[in-house]
Amino acid sequence: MLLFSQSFFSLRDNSSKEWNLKNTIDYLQKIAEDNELDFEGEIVLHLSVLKSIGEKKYDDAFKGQLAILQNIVKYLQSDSENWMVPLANTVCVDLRYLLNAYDKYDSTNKKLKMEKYNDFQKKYIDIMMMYFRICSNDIRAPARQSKRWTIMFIVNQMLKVYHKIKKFHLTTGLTKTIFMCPDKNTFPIAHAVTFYYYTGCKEIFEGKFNDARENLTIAFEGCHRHSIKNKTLILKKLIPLNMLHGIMPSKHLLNKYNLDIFKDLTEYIKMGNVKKFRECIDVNEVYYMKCGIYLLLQKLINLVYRNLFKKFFLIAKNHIIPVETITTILKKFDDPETDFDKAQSLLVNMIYRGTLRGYLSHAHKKVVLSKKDPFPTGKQVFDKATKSINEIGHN
Amino acid sequence: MLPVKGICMEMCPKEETIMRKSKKLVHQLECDPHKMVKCFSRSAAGNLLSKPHILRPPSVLKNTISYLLNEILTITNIPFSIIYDFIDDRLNSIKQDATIQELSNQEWMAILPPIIRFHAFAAYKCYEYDVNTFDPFLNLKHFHESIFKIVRIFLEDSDESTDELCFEMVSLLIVTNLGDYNVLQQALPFITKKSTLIKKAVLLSLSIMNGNFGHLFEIYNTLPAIHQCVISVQLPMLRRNILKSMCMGFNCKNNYFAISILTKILLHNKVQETIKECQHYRLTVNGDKVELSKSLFNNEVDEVKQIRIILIVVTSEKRDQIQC
Repeated sequence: MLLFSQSFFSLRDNSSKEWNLKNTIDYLQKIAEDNELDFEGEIVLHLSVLKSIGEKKYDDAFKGQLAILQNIVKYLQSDSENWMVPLANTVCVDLRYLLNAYDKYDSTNKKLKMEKYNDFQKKYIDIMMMYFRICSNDIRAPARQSKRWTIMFIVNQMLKVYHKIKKFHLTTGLTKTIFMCPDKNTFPIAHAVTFYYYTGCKEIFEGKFNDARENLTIAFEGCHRHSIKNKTLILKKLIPLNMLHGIMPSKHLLNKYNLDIFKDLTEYIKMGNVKKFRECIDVNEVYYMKCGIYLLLQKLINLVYRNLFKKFFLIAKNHIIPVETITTILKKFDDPETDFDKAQSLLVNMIYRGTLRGYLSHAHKKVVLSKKDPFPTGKQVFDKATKSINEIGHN
Repeated sequence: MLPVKGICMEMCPKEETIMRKSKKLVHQLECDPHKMVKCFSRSAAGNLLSKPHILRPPSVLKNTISYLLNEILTITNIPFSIIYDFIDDRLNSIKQDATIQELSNQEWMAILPPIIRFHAFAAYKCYEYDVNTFDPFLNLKHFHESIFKIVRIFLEDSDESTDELCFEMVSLLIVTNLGDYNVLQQALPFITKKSTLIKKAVLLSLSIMNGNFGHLFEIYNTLPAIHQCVISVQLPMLRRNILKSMCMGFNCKNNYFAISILTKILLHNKVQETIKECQHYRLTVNGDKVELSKSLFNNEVDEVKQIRIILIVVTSEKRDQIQC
């Protein structure tokens, strides 16, 4: 019966859901009675939702579906067991899809639609918060009957809504409650993957790269190996984060997940070709922006400079390099208008940030590199001492 | 519920004029009784603000702004701090009127830019004032409230006619917060617009974020005066960071650095200012050279309160930049 109700109310995985004669209310009422179900009101609502979808009236469909969820949440509140949770989850995912469908397909006047969409969104969050409270307060019930196991799922649904409208600051409270859970490791792995993915995205947006890297790694490792699409999504964010630590993706990895977009970029970073690196970002800026990694890639520039100088150093085999030479190199591989002062200020900054070990001599106009390990690895650069300036910048 | 529409066609409602005259609350800049301007008053219990006869419609609001910025701001025989306080208060009341009437995006686009420019200019003009006469934090707060609002409006609906304004505002937001990752995140959707001004601002901010100050001087000189104003205010903090990183980079015995070059790098106007700055951070100045050393650099002291003098004559600049 449990499975029946869950799949019956689903709007997605049911091919017989066309609005036709077979699905008359009488027929369904009969099914309900046969199964001793008391979902009459919801069944009627469900059918009208299907009808509205058929007619492409997504606002009506949303309202109907919202009423279903409201009723189910009300039942949940008085129910001491958790058998209805899968049903509620199905309904709220569908509700979110309807919200998106409304945004995408509804073609009424723009301003009115915007207002309505915001209103729907608010209603969605309200009902989800209610559902969340019921489940998270259910601490007395024995583990088998507790509704607590689903709170991560509920939070994920809300995260998806907030991420769509890019209001990341509103998600802080939600993610905090999950992180504070003493039993946060007992949530289903599928829920955890989504949760850590969205948390990671948010942390990239806020510039907390180390936390983001940790959380996205958890998500990637937990992700099922057949869900290539999700793994690719995670990798799009995780690869640049790892690059910041000096870990470059292998060709094999990029081929496996079809991430051609990083191929050239990786090459240019390895080569230290600043000019091409910049061009590559400029050409794909829209794509990178959509992924939310544009600024992250811009932070890699110091690493590219480091690689360039390292390449030169290995060729020159000399610890003392005239700044004039560096200027010439920069003219070729970065901005053709680089002058002495710019090259010098670049070197100063690299020494300050720890990407280069050594010192500059103004009198001799030379840079003197450290005898031991003049080019620390990305990981060393990103250690605690320099973390703050490297993560956020000077402020 | 429909928003209220104002019907007060004066800069100041009759009610308030009478009240303020009787209570002797007329500001010294409001000598002419016909040119009084509505005060900002907080919404509180018993203080109903949404009465049509005390609200000014958008056209009156626009005229009030041009009166404030073209006639009051140019007064020179009264201390600027008093002028600032007056205009700041009256602009607040304009924003309040506009908010209560729920103006359309187009109307906001006409009202906000002069207000934003005024705060940007004030940040520069009042930089050296004592914190009791001018609060830079509060000024920037007002600035950000307005500029974030207008940036949001540009995200919602903008067309080619407003592009020019959009470029100016977005780039102004970026350069006011040089190196700020979060502000850059917010400005990102605009980089696809292919505006050189935004591009320059983003490039500068990214370089500062990555600690590369080589572009600062060059880009600074190509920006409009109002942008220079807000960068100027950040210079003390930037200079400190530049000097600190240079001390790390040139850390070696008997390594002297020419002050004339340092003056250019630090965007100072005069050599004396550079010497003062170096001495402030306890660096040894020796003739026309300074010893940059990691151990000497004093990290504990505050920044030197010195900004770059913008060479445009202030009055004419106001005419160019702040006029609506």
